Amino acid sequence: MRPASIILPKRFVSARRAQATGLSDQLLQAAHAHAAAAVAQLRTQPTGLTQAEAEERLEQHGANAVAKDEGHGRLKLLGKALINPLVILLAVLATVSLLTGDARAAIVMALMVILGVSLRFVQEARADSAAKKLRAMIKVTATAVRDGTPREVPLADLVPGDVVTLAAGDMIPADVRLLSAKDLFVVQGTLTGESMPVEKFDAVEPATVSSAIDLRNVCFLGTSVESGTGTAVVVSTGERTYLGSLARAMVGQQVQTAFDKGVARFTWLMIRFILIMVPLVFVINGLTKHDWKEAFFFALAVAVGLTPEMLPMIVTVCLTKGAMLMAGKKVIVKRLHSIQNLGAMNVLCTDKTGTLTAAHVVLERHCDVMLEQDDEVLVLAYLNSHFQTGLKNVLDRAILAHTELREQLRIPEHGKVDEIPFDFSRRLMSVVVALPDGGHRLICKGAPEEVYRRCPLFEHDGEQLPMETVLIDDLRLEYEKLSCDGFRVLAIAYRDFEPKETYSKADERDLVLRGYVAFFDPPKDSARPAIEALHQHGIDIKVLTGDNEAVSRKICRDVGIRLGKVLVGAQVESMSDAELGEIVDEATLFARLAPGHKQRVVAALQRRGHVVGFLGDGINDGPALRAADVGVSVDSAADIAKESADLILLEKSLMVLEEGILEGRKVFANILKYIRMGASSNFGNMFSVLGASAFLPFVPMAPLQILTNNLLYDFSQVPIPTDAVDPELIARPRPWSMKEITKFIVFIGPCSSVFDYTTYLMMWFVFKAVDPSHASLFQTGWFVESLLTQTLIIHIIRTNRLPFIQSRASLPLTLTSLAIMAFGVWLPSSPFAASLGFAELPHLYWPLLLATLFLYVLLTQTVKVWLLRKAWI
Amino acid sequence: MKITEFLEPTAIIDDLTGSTAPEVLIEMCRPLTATTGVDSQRLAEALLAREQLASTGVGDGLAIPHGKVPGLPGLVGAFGRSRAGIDFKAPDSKPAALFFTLFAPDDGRGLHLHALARVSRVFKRAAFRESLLKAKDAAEIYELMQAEDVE
Repeated sequence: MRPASIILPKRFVSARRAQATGLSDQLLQAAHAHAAAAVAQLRTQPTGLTQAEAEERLEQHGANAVAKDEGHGRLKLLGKALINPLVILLAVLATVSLLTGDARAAIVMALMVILGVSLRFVQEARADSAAKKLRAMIKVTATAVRDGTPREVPLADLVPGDVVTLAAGDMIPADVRLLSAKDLFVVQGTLTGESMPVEKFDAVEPATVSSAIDLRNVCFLGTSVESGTGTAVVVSTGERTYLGSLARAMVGQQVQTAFDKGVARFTWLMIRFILIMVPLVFVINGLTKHDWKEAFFFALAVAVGLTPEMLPMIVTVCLTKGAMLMAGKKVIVKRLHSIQNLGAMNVLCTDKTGTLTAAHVVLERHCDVMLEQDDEVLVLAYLNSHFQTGLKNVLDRAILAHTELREQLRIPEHGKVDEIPFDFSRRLMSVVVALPDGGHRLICKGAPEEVYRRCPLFEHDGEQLPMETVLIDDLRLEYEKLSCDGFRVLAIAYRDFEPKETYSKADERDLVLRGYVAFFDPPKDSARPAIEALHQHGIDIKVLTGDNEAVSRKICRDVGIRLGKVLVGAQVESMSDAELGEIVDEATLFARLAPGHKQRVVAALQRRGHVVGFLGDGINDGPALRAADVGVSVDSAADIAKESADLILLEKSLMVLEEGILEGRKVFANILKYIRMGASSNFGNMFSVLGASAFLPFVPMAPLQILTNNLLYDFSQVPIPTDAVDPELIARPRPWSMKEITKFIVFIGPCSSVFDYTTYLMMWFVFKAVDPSHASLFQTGWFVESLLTQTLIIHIIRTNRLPFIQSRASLPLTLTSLAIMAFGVWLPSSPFAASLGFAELPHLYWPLLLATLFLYVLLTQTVKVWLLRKAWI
Repeated sequence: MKITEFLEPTAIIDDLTGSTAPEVLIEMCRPLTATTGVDSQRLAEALLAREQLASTGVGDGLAIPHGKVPGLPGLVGAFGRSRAGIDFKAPDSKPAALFFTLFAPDDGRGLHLHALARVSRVFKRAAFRESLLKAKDAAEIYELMQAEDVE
């Protein structure tokens, strides 16, 4: 089931989205009121609540938590392990056997049930608790003023009315109204996708501003302080926060993965075989042999034989083994079944900030008005950032990272005279320095359009020129090139003064425009090779970001993502799902997306038949993470993103993910080995059993022998999860293909039937087992042949190459196969032979068996190669 | 920087015949093809591209159409006078009568900024504009430019 929003008509979706992004009235009231009024409205003091008041309110408002960490109860997990068609069928058959007095068969089947259930339960519980431990590692506290003193309070215990202090690096602990702010910059990329921090103020917000992102005196839960300090009063907590409203918007059931669906379809196919076969076998044997009791038990045993009862266990062990290996490679699997989807994934949607980029802003260019590199511009910028005493924001820090200038500039010789701090209405700031020659120089840096208005002159090539109207557009054209290349641009201007005491905003005029400094969040070194590797493994990368188009284009180019069509959020918004579906394959970059858009893009890709992965860490990524076949998040991500994800990377790197993908493909390759073997040998056995039932005067194998055969066969398959996988089997994404499985069944299955029939003929004509008194000889002959061929076929099916020579199974699998085959050969002459109804086999049987096995391997290999050449499997 | 460094006498048209802005622009590009070796169509396209960004009509009957042309050997200009005046979307809404057209190579050296600054400054003087409007032919216009350069 997909979350309902995807299939809702668009207007409902947008209505819901509007509702989701709507703010609580209380928060708007607080934003539009004076600080004192906001405090009064929340029935608190600027000095905060008392501990008693806080406890009372906690009772009333509930914990300040959005993502409820319920985990999976042990019972729920056990239920999940039990409620499974195979387990239920086995349990029913065991009960029937018990009721009809066949305790031995019941015990055999009960053992299978217990084996399957306990392995699945233990493995899933282990993985679940690992993920839980991981989540428990993240504890966040807030500094709240209680009883007049600031103290560290667990995030969950905050209540409306609490007064909190904010400092750089803090997570905003709830939706808060600022009471004071000093150079407070907040990163709200988790909510909006913007890389750059936003400055927040304590001033009253005009009543016209009602969009969450534009409220400058409100900070939101889930965002964090980049720099600066502030105090704030908590307005809303928990699910009543903006973040909480987003979290509510992604209600809906967990999507069933392609793998889940595939396994279910396979299981139903097997169940259909059984439903047709068992009554048929029962009736034919009853009619031909007139022994209805034996016919019933024979049919029952055939049912068990046809049941791929090892499937849940093989799947779980394969997945768990993969999960453990991946944990060693910094990928934590939260939902086991997503491993296979990871291997099948052919489109990976990823966000930009922190995945492709370092999430760390650097100064990339310093240039004159014609964008030629100019060190003097950097010197001016450096002096400005160095001498300003407000909190240094990311851009200042990026400038000051050019430490090589510190010595070169002889900073001590430049005395600081004054500074005119930044404010949001001017969007620029200046410092005044005393030059070594005694003059004063005002250095201004800020938003280019603001700086332009204050510059009647610009400097180029050592000459000061007038900013004529006709020139301004040409100059603007130049710096806009930088913006279009994805840079964040600041203009640098200066003015020389005769020394005077103090300076003010009024002095920020008649400036000389000197040049620009340009910043960006550079791509990670590891991004390009990782993307190349993913491409080579057949995975298409699409970038889905909330950030602007220019920046995103640049990053895509830098990391080697081929730019196909580029779509922005507004375009996605205006398209119907059908229109989006037509373009979604070609588009590689989606910029300025809202959370709902990401989800729609993922859903559109899925409708095109892709297995879609989504890598994101923001709160705005939650819905898309849930909708994707594989949701991948990182350890440092917003809790809500982690909650929605299937996998968690301990390191936000595509390289880590790549290793996980290969592991996922190995897991799937091994599961597929089991499914192909199980399905084709069952299909073959159906022909054999039907033919034998119709033409033989006795059952071809005693019911207990069938179960023994089955149990031994199961044992031989236990080491499949340890098996090595040929490189070509994991080179491309491996989607679940029922078509391939069907081809395999139809062509490989009858191969085993052919040799079942030659064995029948051999037992009948060579060894004269032609009447019920020789039934046990006949049955023993088929038992041994059947067990050996089934065990051998693992080695042919496990590879596309020449078995034993070009590709060998893992040691445990090889040893187990040998042991089971030896055991099968030994059984008829063992002490158990009598109780299992086996007869001693004549000497001639063995060379004939050897020839049968050889021809069987030859035929199966030939058919396999033919199928591969036809590209049918 | 002297105007006559980038304005040849042959590139002065004392009586533009075009009656619309694009016609006038194309007209002024024609004499430059010989000196620059660049097709006049390409030159005109550079001007029109710049006009699309914002009009270069600066007011007081003056327009300074300009553009960057890759591969140009250096700055090159043309001057034209329209007796009727052309609507050039100037901020003061007056029709433009004097056109100083300027091309610069696209090499990032910013030559055009200096030239534009120089042309703007020279044409700021009302007396100079007056004398250009009154000049009897192209030769006199060139002499006026030379005289201005000397000052």
